[in-house]
Amino acid sequence: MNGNSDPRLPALGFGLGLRADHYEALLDKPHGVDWLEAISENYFVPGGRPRDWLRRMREQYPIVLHGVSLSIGSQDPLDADYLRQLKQLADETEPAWISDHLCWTGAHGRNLHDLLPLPYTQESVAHVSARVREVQDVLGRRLLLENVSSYVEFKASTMPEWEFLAAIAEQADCLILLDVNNIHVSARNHGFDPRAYLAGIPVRRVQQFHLAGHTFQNNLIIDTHDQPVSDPVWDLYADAVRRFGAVSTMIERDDNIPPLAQLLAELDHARAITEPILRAAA
Amino acid sequence: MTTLTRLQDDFQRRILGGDAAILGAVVGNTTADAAERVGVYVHAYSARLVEALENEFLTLRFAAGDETGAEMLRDYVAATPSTLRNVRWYGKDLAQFLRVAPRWRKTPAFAELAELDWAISVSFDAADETCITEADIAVVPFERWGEMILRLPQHVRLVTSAWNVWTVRQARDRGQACPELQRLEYPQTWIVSRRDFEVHYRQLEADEAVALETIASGAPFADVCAALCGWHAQEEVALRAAGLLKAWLGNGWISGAVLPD
Repeated sequence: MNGNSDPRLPALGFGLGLRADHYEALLDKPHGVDWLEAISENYFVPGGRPRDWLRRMREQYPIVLHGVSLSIGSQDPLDADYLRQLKQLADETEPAWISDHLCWTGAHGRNLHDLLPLPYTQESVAHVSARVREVQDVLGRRLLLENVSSYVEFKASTMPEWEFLAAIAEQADCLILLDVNNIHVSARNHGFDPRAYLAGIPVRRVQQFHLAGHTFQNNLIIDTHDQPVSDPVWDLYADAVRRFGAVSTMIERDDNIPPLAQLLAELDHARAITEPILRAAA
Repeated sequence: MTTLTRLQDDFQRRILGGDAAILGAVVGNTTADAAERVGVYVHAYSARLVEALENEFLTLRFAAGDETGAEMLRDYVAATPSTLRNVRWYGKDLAQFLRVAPRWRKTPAFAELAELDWAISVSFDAADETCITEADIAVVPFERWGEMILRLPQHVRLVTSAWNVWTVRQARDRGQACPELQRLEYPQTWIVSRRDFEVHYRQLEADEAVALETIASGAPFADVCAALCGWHAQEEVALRAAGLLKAWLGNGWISGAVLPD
């Protein structure tokens, strides 16, 4: 991998998260879904219907794999068995790319099943970058790292989150999955300017956008993926398109899952935002 | 100890119910103080695992009720820190937990319900295996049938229950009211298996159950016939064994037949 050339892969358009509620409807190839994002761990099973569904979806759509427990920021060694399963799934599925989160999910062999934030320090940059390179060596391709929603910031941090993410992307020579909702959520929870976040991310590293909904809990916003995309997130998405251009965009919905038509309408809304911006920029 | 290591140690300890040292390392402000911020993660840990278990142990919840079901799942989560990358497998020890936990062992049916749910769950996404047919068995010389070792595919699970847990499952699947939990006069063995990606279950006759358990133990077909002698006259055993084998092959319950070298 050459860190000097533009590392981005061809954009896939507008996609959805592959969820069991929509399996049947997606097989009918509804208009407007260009690609699907599958949660890697959901298919780390020996066989049966889940693997069959994934095979059938792959016959109809480009697929990307999105993991939730690589735990790239953990102090524990990388999990060789996890990487073996991911590599095997990737070999079988031939995804357009593979992503996971810039976080840690547990230490000392424990797993907390959450996307826990890291302190934004040079120590963390070096630690994560080295591990991303290891993962990329195993997978034989660049990894996409996603910014997570967070509810805590550490006093030990010495840089803003966007600087942290950008530094890792450059040092590890990896790509970025920019979750626009997560930027909004964290900006509100911690009081930073989400536009400063966008401005701090290198354009040539951004391969994918996530859009999702959130909920309010007292004074914090929680990244719940159980609501439609909110207006402030659509506004921030428009700014992201202005900065990063035609980036593959998908909508995540994990709870309170609506009929597929509702998500297709949201995808159409994303298209409606994107097209005039890209036309004006052309 | 590095900053990263210390923060992860302190944060994890707090999430798992330990001390509050992490609060001193977290920025608090007028939006939310450090305790509220860390509390989001503390709450999410248990909630996420309980939700995953609720989706897995449907019969247990049906029989125990949502409130009691949630209490036993929370107890399991509190007693069982996850060491798994994939939450899919987190419920594998629930039946054993319910069997021994002082609060729940007084109702042994709870452990059996969890065992039933787990068997169905494991069958659902067990490995895809090609099953053998009568034609595959036909090539085994008849005089060597006794040595033949049959293999059950991974989606086939045998579950023996002393309580009416399968009646509960049937009621749930049919949308009926949950029957009262009752101890059976005799334990029953049920088979869970998968065909065309659908999981099925049915009760086995006592002799068939023992025969399949003998196969599951890795014993040769002669031992299966010997086990059947407990139910059938000597002269009827061969016919019953052949009949069972034919049915099993037809059901896709046999994935291999090997002869020792």
